[in-house]
Amino acid sequence: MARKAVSALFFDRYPPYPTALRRQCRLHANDSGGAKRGYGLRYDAAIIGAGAEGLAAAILLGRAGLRVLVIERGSHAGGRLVTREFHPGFRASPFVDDIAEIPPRLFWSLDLARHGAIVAPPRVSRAVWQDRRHEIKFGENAEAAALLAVSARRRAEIAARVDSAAKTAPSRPLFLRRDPERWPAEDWATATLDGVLASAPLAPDAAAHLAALALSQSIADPFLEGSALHLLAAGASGHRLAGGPARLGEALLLAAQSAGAEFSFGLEASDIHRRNGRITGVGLADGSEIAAQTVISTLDLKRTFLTFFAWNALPPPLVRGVNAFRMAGSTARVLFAVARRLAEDGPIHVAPSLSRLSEAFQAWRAGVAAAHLPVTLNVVSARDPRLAPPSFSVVTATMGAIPFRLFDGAWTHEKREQLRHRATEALEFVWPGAGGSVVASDVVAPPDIEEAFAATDGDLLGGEIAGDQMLGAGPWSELGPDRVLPRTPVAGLYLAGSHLAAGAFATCAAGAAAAHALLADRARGWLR
Amino acid sequence: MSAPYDAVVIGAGVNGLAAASYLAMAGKRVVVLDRREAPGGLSETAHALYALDPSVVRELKLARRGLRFAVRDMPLVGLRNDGKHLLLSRDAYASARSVAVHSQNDAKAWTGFRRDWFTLARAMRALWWHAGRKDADLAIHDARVTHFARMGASAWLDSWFESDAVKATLGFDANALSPLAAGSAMLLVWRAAQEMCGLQGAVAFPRGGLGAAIDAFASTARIAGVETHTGSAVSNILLGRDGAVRGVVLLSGDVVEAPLVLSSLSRRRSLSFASVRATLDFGEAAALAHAHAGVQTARVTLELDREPQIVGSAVPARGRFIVAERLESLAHAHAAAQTGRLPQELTLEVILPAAADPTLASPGCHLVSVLITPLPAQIDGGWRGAKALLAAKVVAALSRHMPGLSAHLVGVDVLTPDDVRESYDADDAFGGAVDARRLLADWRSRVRTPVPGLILCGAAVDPVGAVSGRGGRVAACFAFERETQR
Repeated sequence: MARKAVSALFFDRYPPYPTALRRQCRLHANDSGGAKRGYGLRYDAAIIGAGAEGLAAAILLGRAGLRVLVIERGSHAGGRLVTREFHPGFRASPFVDDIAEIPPRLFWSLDLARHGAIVAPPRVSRAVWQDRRHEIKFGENAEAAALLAVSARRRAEIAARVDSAAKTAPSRPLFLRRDPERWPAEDWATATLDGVLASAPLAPDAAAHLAALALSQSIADPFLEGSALHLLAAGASGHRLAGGPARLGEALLLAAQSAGAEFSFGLEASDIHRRNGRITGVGLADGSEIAAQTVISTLDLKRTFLTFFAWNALPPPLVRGVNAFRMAGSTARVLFAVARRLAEDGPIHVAPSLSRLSEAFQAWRAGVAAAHLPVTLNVVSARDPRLAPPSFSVVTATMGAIPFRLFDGAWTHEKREQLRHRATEALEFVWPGAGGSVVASDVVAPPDIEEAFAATDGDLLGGEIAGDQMLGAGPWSELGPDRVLPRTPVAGLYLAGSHLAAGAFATCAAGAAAAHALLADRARGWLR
Repeated sequence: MSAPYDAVVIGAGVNGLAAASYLAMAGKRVVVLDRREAPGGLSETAHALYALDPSVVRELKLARRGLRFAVRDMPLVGLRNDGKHLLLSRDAYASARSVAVHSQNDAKAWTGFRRDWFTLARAMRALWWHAGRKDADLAIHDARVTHFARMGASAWLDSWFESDAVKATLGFDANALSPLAAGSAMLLVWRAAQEMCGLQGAVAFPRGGLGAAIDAFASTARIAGVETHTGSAVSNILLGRDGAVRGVVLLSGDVVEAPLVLSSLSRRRSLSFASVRATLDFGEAAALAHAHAGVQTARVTLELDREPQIVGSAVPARGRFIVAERLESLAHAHAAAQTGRLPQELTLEVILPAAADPTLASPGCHLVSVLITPLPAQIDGGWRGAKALLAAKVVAALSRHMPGLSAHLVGVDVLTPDDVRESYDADDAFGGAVDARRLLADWRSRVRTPVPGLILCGAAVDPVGAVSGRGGRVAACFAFERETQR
């Protein structure tokens, strides 16, 4: 124990210490293994989850000289950025085809280009209806460009605001009035999507296409107030990656390793230990404990607070706020191996009308998959030919408005078959005859997404996109101004999941914000 | 009518009469013009007093003009299909006991929720109707207020309660928006901010019905020296060469000159007068074109030859009964209304006026007054054809709670959204669609129009959807402020 105290003192006093010494310590810690893991070494930060956000946080913290351990329950890093062979010779990412934009400055500060990640903005998006089609060329289409530009600017402003709030450790004004909370997209948080589109100078087709873009990953009734906030998603996603999503995962992992982060694979974090209001470590599923001063959780808000803490360990208002946080998992995916060469770049939205989207929302709330679902088709092999054998292609169908909890019970085999059938219909609708040349297919239902990522309700955006959840301070805004996301009411615990606007519409931004908040608090001496 | 006036008020509703009374009491010569034959306007379609402003009652001395209350505080009763009716009265512990029938957890949460709800509502009053007070501008900057403005009623109620009974009964009061829409939590707060008879969030029933309350306003105006001309519809607003208001043109061709026009029509209708529309710039004209009407309401009055008996657990006859089984039924009704269909499950508010004030009905005759909302503005085949269907659906929905209702039915009176539009020159009771941004707007921006001298004084100023008189008061405040600035 004495040795530990001395070494901790030493390292706290003299960071950053020589790399060679650091390597040695780590080697020693890893070799000790098992229940003794971490003995004699306390990590400055434990990061739960080795997805894009966790790795981004690890890179930033590691580079700042902190001892970082990334805890991942799976056998490899990358989170949703994986590519899987779903049929011999055919590969695709089961969960996402393309990612939301990485803010440019963050992309360069993470040093991703050197490790082989190349991200390109989306080029084109198509929408298809029964009798007509519409195409938006990003950067060229003057009609939709105005609204898309507004959306992009607001996204950037929100991300910048979240990051700057994280970097400046909040002062605690006891008697001062709080600054008015003005968020860049505030007017969208109380407007209807239908109304915003109607008041913009848009042709009906372009408006419907923008609605399909806005609601391609999430679910809302376009006639309800607050649904305009989904416009933030229009044009946010669709950033293409050279070599597919897996390549970005590799680049992040390499960068994290070269920044000096350590990894623990195969064991799930089970609880966060606290003593005297301070975090002391993370308990793993095998009963061992990793000593750590701070924890960054990349899981969603519900999962973090409801699984890592005993039910009576947190103050009741916090638990109530977390319980009331709304998740809105609504996507399912079908991966197709098609014996045909398809070469269309960019997503194709098989888009229902606004009133159909409204009906789909109502059905989704009732636990029913509606008669008309929004489906987005992506020929992933057209972007990356290595994913399919020559003269074959891989097409993914992302279906919206799929409830996580069905009104009539679990996601059985028959219901998954129905999903497959409906996705095939959409495929057939866009490329007549392609439905017959499907070699193999794979269904990813919402429960699969929940299981794969521990994402509550299979919601990859980390919560319902609503003004009261995604803008502002999160569910504990009432507890005080010094606890604003990514900070939490638990001192030393930071959230890096995509639970706030910055995370839902930008990759790596939530992880970076959490890392910046942690560093700012350390610099203030709050965590010593 | 040729005498020069200081102000013309369009519409002799409660707000118009209140605004005219305030101006007349300050020594102005005011004329009120109404297209209908009797004063009252949309207030005639209301069936209880939800939000009469206490300062209006005091300042206009309405009590001296005969405003009395038969019931000062009608308890909120949720009629449930299973017969376990929910009774939410001012007695927090009795209410909690009634809630406990549905859920123990909700009963525990009830007092905390009520305290939270009422406290926030009191804080919001400063913003909403203390026109001219400095702290009105401060309240809007509170973080909690903005948080609420972006929240749906469903999200808020879900965070406190688990039983449908409590959520649906409370959620009905946020019915100007779907409970899923952002900002509907603010409408619940708005409801609790009202003060009736000195009681927060109360609903009162005036002695002699709503007509008596309107008479009190009319006689106040008369005694203050306001001229009221009924049966004279305004066809246009007269603008001077400098763009300022000079008076109004009547449908008969007469011109009434005045430098100030107060309109109790909605913002859309006030700005749609031909002369006004010509002066709007592009942005304002576009906003006008996209303005849509608020939630639509219908009234059905049933006349019975026997006192209506409510089956199930005992409830007071002087209550305000809500028929909405779940919050989802409200959301579905809104979605149906959006697409122009009659909702599968009607959500109703029921009052028994004869039980509240026995003088209202002749002996042996009993009344059931039903408010149905939300409804579509237009319906397939027109509202004229759907009238009977609506009445039948209402009777069917009520028969579950009042068995034998149809056997004792003597008369039915239906007022559809179409009737409201045609006879009252209004799209809805709220003066336009209600949303959070409108609720949080500065009071001056609600009153003001782009035309100098044209002021709004109706429901558009105070989107409460009920008889309040506050719109008139705020408009008069604005007019005085404008005068002193000159």
